[in-house]
Amino acid sequence: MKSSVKVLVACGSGVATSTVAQEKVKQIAADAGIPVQVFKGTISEVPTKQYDVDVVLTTANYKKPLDRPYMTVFPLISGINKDACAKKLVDLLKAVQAE
Amino acid sequence: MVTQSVDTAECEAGGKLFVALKGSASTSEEAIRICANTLQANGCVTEKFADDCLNREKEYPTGICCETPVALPHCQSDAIRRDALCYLRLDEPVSFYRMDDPEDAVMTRHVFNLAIAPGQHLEFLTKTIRLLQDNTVLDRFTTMTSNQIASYLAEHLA
Repeated sequence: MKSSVKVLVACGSGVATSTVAQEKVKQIAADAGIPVQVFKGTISEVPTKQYDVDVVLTTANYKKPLDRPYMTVFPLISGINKDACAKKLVDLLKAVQAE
Repeated sequence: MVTQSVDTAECEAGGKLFVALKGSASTSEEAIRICANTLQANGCVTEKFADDCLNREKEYPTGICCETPVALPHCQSDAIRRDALCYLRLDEPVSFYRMDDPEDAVMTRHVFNLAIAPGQHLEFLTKTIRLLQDNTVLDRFTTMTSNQIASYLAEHLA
């Protein structure tokens, strides 16, 4: 059981959507009672930065293989299916926390 | 050649400049250049900003399939002199590749070109994303004047 889950939130430029998604991820984790440390980055940093974290989340499309658990949090930006996305995220964070 | 819109309005709030304009474009590149040129004319960005946005758009596109599709072209760039948002309302939609699936595209009339220097900008960005998700506001933008839209953006996003 981890004391906190380290999360990387990445987007294309690391300026806009990752900033918003980072905050929403913090809120979703807090509501679920899961302690998280959230870091922000760009998609191009994902292959290296993944090793500093437990989970990788992106707002843009990412299709290359990763060594860390990964999901897209794009619905938190578009608003479409955001509740389903939040639920999936909580399940993923809980699973990683329990490792 | 990129045509400049005649109906352009600016409104300043919270240290940021909000610009709204109407225009027509046949491609996403034209739409981005119209926004970037307008921001440049207002002293918010230098000439390089348009290319920086276009280069980023090629690699990480910014079309978003909200209820009303929108595009949010932006970039991390040293060409930004002053934080700003340029909203371009197109008379006919253009195609932007999708942020969540670059092999697919959305047709949009609503282009939000962001020029923000790295930093948190959390409140501003959160409000902007909330606005993009609100199709009732976007629908109203199609009938409002540029002046009204610039004021709305300044009031609700700054």
